[in-house]
Amino acid sequence: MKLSGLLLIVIMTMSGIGYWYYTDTQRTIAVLTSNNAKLEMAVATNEDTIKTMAADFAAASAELKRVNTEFAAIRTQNNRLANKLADFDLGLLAAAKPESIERAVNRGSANASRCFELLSGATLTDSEKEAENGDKFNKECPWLYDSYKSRGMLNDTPANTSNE
Amino acid sequence: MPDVDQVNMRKVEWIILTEDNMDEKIAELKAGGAALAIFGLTAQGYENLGLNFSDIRALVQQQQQIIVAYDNYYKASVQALDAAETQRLQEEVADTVTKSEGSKWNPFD
Repeated sequence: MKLSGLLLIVIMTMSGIGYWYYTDTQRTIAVLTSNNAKLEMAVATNEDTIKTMAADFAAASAELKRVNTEFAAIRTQNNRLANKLADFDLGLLAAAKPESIERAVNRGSANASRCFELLSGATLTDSEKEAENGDKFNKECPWLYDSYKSRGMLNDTPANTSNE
Repeated sequence: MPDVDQVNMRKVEWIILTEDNMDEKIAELKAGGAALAIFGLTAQGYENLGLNFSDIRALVQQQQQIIVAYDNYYKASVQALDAAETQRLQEEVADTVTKSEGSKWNPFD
């Protein structure tokens, strides 16, 4: 009887220790699992941040490259007039043919002014929409023709030839 | 952002005066009735004015390209940040689901 009582006490004590050990271990596992999840989350967040920064850097680099290309094109376009003027002596020509040079400079000035209007977003005129190439579009800024064409803002078929 | 104001350039008319046509041109100008005053430029001055105009046009174009670049960059950044935030939320949800699935096997919880 005494032995069975003692055995019962030992079993109960062992069961208690077992229960305590189990719950304590589970609590520790839960804490570790939670910490692990937080670390995994932190790693994932860091990876996402790195990916975002890399994408950001790539986008910035691409834009920088595009802007540098555009700037080079704009500088070339800006040299057109200087190159044109270097080809002849305007004073000499004007003295010899004042009427025709007067017409030419007035046409050039009107075209140059129109370039500014277009750069500010002016609506295209019918003749600009129907232009077949850059020079017919505007001799002072023919490069704008390609920009408008790529945006589908020009008539594909010129109106003056559509009825032929 | 609003678009810039559209410019309407005012008409500028050049008159070329030479030794030969000066009297004729001055007579034409006087015939209009207005007081005669001529704002003159030499050929070199005219060329310089044209080149200055061309430089300003190039400057406007360059500024426009910079604005386009900033616009593109801003849109790409917002898109990348939105994508990262969506992914982070998805990972958080997935983590919460995993945790709740793990705890159901604990008989004492």
